[in-house]
Amino acid sequence: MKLATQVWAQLADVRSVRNPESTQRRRRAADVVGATPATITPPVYPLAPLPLPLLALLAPALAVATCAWWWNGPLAGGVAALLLLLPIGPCLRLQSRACAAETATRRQLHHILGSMHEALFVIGRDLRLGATCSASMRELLRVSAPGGRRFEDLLRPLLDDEATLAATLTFLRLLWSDQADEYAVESLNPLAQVEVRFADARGGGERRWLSFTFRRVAGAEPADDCIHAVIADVTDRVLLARELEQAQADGDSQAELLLQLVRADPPALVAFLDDADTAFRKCNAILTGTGIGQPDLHKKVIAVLRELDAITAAAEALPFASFAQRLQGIDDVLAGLCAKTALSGNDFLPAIVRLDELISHAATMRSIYQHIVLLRAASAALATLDACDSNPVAVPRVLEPS
Amino acid sequence: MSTEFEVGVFVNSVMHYFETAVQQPAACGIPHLALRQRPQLADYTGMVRIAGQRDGVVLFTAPRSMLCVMLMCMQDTDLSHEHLRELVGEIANTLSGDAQRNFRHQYSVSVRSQVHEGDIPLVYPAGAHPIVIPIAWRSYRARLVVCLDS
Repeated sequence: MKLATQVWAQLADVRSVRNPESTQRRRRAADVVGATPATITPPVYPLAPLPLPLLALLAPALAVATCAWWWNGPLAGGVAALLLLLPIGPCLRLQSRACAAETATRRQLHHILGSMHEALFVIGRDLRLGATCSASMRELLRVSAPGGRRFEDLLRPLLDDEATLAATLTFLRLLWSDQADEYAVESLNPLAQVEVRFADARGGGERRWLSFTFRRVAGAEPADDCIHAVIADVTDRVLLARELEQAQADGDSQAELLLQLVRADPPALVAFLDDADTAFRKCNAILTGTGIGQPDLHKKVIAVLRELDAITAAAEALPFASFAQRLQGIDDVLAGLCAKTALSGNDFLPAIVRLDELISHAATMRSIYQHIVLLRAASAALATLDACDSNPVAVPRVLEPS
Repeated sequence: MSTEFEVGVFVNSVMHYFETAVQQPAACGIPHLALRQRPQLADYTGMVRIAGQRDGVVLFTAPRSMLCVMLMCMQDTDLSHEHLRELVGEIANTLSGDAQRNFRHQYSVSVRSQVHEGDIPLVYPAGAHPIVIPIAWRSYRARLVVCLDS
């Protein structure tokens, strides 16, 4: 985000420099938007704006020199011309320095926009994207030419629900409002962390988590006002946070599971684990079976659901919350698949991952239970030994004292 | 990182390879678990080893006939054993590249190699069930096997 702050400053610098060429460039970019694949503002190398200022300086100088020549001879004319033309050099030098500085600033800006990881762009009052944006935007949003497009059109294919999109548009309009407190509005950002789905031709899609940050920036004139937006890919962060949460929940549930297993009725527990194992293997066999047509796929989903229903009922009868929770997870996934009209193999991936988790969980339960059984047997044996030691009369004496 | 996300990355990677390199999309079959026995390997197998937060292997295994047709689709006439090994190696490279791009903070995708069945014994992480994803392309069947420890 530090880099983004630098870019804001750079943008502000560049925006403060009035350059008619850049205005024309922006206008041209807006005209041909959609046709141009480049999303980064190319560096502008302005031609030295010599002709008009030079003519403005030269014309009076030449006129004065000619008059001096006419009245006092060629020497006076030459001296007058020299004196009048002398300031032109420093003027030109200053102008070229300013041009070079502007070019360097633009080149630097171009470099920053090309190298930053976050997508950075500008949104206008009409909620259209400006022509200036960072190169990573193409990668983050998977769009070729975002410049000039409506923000709404850009977001719609990525978001699953219309409500978030509507909330985003309301939020942006609120941000544009002059009465709104920017910092108060910021907390309402519905895209602070949002799950997006990049659809592919196969009907599947890749899920990513993006974080959008918006900031209204006031220009020198009201027409220059805009919203600066930064998008960062926070998928790693989100997944790690979820994993941590899951690990903590698992840690709690392991202790809980141990207590439940200690208290459980052994024959009922063993029977339940055996039934669950058989049901899971059957589910896997159903999914492995042939048949890839839509009716076959729906039949498979229903068959797996039926197999799991019996186990769900048994798990509810026994007090195994962790098991029931995992069963509920796979049940939800399968119910979602039932509701879909068109299924593909990819859709079954969440179900199979949850089935694997269930099988592993059942194996863990069995392993813990076996340890408990061993510990119980060991403690029973120790108790017998202790009983023998404390009651020596019960033990037959081999040697009697004489 | 969830298993679902990780497996999804590998599946998308293979599908994308068929779409771009072979220029004929493949279809993903219904995934299942290899519970009783190890997944059956076809003639050629490309393997990616993953180490780091989770250890495991990712395999792409395909029959010789399928790889030959793939090469023909790619306008390649050399159907030698070495070339077929190179092709599965290239698919393994693609898997490895995508894994590095997506899991750069969590994993090191260190080894990748292509093996002919029986060349190298495959070692799966103990206690993990390999997820087998059938890949259907034309009339051929390949398999993507993802086995990561928990």
